[in-house]
Amino acid sequence: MTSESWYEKVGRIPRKGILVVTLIIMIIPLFFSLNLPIAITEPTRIVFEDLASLEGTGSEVLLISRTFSPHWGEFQHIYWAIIQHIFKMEDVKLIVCYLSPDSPALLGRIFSAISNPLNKQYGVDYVNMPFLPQASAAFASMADDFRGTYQTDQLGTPIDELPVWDGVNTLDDFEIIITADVTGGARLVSTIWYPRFPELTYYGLVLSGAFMGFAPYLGTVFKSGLWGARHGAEYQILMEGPSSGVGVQMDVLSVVTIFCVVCIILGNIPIIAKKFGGK
Amino acid sequence: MAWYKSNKPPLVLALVVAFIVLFSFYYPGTVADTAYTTVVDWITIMATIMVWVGLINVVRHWSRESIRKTPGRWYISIFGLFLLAIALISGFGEGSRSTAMGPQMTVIKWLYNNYYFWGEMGLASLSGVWTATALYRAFRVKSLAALVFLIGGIFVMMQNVPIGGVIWSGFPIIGDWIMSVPFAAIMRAFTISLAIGVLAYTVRFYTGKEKGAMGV
Repeated sequence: MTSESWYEKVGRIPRKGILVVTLIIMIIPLFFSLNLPIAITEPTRIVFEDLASLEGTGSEVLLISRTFSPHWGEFQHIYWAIIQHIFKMEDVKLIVCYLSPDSPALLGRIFSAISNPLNKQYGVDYVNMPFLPQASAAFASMADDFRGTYQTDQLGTPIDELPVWDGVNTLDDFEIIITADVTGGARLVSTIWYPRFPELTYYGLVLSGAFMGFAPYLGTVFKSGLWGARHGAEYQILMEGPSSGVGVQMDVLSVVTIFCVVCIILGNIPIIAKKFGGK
Repeated sequence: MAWYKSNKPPLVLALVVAFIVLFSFYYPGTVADTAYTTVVDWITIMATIMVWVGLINVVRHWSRESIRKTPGRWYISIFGLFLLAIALISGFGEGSRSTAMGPQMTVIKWLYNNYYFWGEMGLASLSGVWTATALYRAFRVKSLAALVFLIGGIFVMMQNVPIGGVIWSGFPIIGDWIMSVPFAAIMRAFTISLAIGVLAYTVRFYTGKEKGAMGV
């Protein structure tokens, strides 16, 4: 009976072993921060500078949220960054529309945490609209008559009584439109809104793993966007105020990615060794 | 077979709706636009009705499993029914007393934040834990195409995390280039070919040749 060569052993690491190591390396950054530098990429810089240019202009920003709780791990940092940036600026108003049943509760965490410290008043500086089912129908309705799509806000207050809605009638009244979806709402924006409002500025907030759905529209329909937790972290660095957890999450992502690359290399050692006649 | 039991009525109805949408796009401001708005309203109404159909089906399914004591599932079904009852009772109860809706309601909010949210997050996180072992087993380079795929994948992986730039400053630059140039170009080509396919499907649908969507 021939004994197993070293590279055959490397090719047969038990699954449980890999899972245990993954778990251990995920826990380490919780106790020892790596504090790795994060370089700012161009897409993040574009979104940041465009939003920053709205300060003091009295502009309205529309945020369409179609996020579900499994995606919150990646999306939370992007939302934190964008909403915090808008709230830190003077005289910029925000209307938030929800097209997934999860979004109101998810974003509610951010609003309840930062609206008071940043001295933003509900109904005057920002407003949460009620959840609308059927995203495509909601997009079509907003394109036809944005104001007519809603009668009240999430708390049941008529929109005519909310100062944040003053002067808002159509999508044209928004300086910037941000759509947050698995693929940044790319399909809906490109087929329903963009043909009718091509002059508007659209940004997409996207899951990094679903970038494939957003990529064809980047630079055409969408001026830019933020994809993945990394862009959220970059954005928070630009604001000079990372929220708690960004550093830890980036550290965990870093070490797990390195471990994934190591796993790929280990998995390929038997193939390479056999090819070069290794024993 | 009576005409109303045949596949003709749903086909005709679907065609009428399809033509309304088509005309409203090419002739805005006409009667087709009004009809289109009505169709969009009805989509919302039907989505709301579907929620009730879903609710009835879930209650039927879980009740059946609980009564028949389906092995390994009956207790989960009872727990599901219990949670559903809490959500319905608290929703209707609080809804009749205040203007709060959905996630603004006290009990619903508590259930969402403390039960549903973490359960969903935990389930999603499991896929992350399995990624390393999946990569170890599946990412084997057995051809030149697989090698190119692997190299591209590693660059994109390293671009997405801060440590990539620390190891080598080229990782973020090359990774970003892969995403925004070749990847975006390939996805654009894919999207265009998909659109042409949809166009072909639409022509077949409008000419009554495509009946698959009707289940006939």
